[in-house]
Amino acid sequence: MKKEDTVKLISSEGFEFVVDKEAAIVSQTIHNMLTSPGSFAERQHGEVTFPEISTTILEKICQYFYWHLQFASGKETEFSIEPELTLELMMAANYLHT
Amino acid sequence: MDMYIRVKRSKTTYFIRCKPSDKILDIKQKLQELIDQPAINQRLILPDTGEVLEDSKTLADQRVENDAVVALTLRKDENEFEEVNIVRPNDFYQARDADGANWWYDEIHNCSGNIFKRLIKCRVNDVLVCIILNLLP
Repeated sequence: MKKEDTVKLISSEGFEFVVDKEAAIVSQTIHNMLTSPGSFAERQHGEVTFPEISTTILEKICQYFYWHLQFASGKETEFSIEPELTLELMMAANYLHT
Repeated sequence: MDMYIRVKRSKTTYFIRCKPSDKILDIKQKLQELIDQPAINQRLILPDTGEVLEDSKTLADQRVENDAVVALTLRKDENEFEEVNIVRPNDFYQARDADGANWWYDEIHNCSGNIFKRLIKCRVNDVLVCIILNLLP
């Protein structure tokens, strides 16, 4: 596990989540940020800030990324979502194309 | 990958992919890559119990499961480590304006069916969206 293989996702409150790039690119939006040629600053620094995603939501999204990888490799478990997070998760998931 | 754990220090969380048979020292060596601190300067602790995880034991030995939270503290000097410090966000129930969306919850208790219904209304891009969730106690 090398630093270059990770990306740091930063919430609106400045909390940081260091995740594998392989997990983060479950989001098409993050995938585009990290792979498009040249222009995004995110690619150079390995950091992505989400001014409109709160900490609790961003952590749940990161957990989903890893659950998705586990599920894709055959480990079928349930992903639990607290009802009060549902609405914001829908909005964030829409933005992240996840 | 078999599992992952969340290693937390202050306002940072490291998602570490691992296996139940990994030793704590293996986890520290992965963290070393990310935080530029040698394993010997790291201490991993279960935040609920304060139990310090032992390098030579496996995650399974110490009942650390998938998605568990582990606190990271770093060495201060020859004899001392930092205290556990995991900053918790206070955003859980706060209403906020994001992308122009305003929302609120109404809870309706249906006595005859003993069912909570949570009604979420929100306005996204000037479209009113209603979501009804059923929560069975």
